[in-house]
Amino acid sequence: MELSVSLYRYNPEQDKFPYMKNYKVKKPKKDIMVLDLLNMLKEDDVTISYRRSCREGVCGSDGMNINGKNGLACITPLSEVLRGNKLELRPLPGLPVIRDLIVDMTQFYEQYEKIKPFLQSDSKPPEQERLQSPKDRDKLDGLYECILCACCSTSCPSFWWNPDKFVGPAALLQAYRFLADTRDTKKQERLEELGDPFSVYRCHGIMNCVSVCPKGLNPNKAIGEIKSMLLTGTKEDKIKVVGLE
Amino acid sequence: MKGSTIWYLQRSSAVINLIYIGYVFYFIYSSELTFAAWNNFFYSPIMIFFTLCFFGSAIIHSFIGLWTVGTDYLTRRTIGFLSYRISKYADTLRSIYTVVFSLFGLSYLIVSLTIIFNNIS
Repeated sequence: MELSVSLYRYNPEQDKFPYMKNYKVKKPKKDIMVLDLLNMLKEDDVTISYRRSCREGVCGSDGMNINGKNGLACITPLSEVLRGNKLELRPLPGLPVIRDLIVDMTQFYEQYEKIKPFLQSDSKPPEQERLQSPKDRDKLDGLYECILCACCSTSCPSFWWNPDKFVGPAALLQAYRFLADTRDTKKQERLEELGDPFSVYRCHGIMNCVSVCPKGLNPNKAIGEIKSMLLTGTKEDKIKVVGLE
Repeated sequence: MKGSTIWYLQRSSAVINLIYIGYVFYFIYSSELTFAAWNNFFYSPIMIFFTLCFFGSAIIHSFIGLWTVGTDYLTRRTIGFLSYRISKYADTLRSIYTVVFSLFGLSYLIVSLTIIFNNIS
């Protein structure tokens, strides 16, 4: 049995417009990952371009749109995404395409940079590390695991429409990761940075981010918690554990 | 304006509108509806106050909603998904859209105030 793979192709040096190219592949006997299939295609057509690195869902570099849903090619089994032996692979939506499945992530990283993704503390740095209680550490579960693959932000219509103003689910999840960190002393400043009508409030709760996150995280819940903090203040006892989906 | 202020305005105006509409429907279905009964109900001082609150809330609610729609869908980027040529005029299109719905809001306010204050006997 054959698989029909439709692949988004675009080489700005050769093509005026992007196009979909069809490939026929013999269906493997065992279930393989989408990345393995791409590697098989690349053996025959070396011009196919995509990012990949760790091939085990840790580096987050092979995020792409697989049969209409964003995901990591390396941990997405073919059996889960095939529709009638057909597979359509496109780059992450909304970001400029550099070549084939490779997108320019600048906008995504600029939003990440905006939220200052590092611990800020007024207290003197200790000799070794800033400690916190296991209970406080638990508040970071479901937040720190994000691998910045951009699957969530690029599946979010609010991020498609306003990628320069809306911070996006990935960066907002990280914003809450530092707002929830008891060692961080710049909560008020962080919230002021996010207080405009676009940065957080442009989230309409569509929840595509939750649906596609390959790590099972819930950015929507974190965004809800940020909104609560913006609306009611930043008291420590109000910080809730977001957890995994 | 802060995002939180807009958030509160949008939710509180929605609650005011819901309570008002619910109250009006309750009046319509809970008693025999005659012109005299409606006139007495609608032009009582307390009802005039609530009606003004309703009209004010409706304008605030719709303005925020339509502004959100405009800043989501009438931007250079969003229109650019459909046509690059038209997307160059996105800011102008959004300004026209804002003026049009603001004029609608203004005329709505004038008509509603006229209905209330021209008929107070």
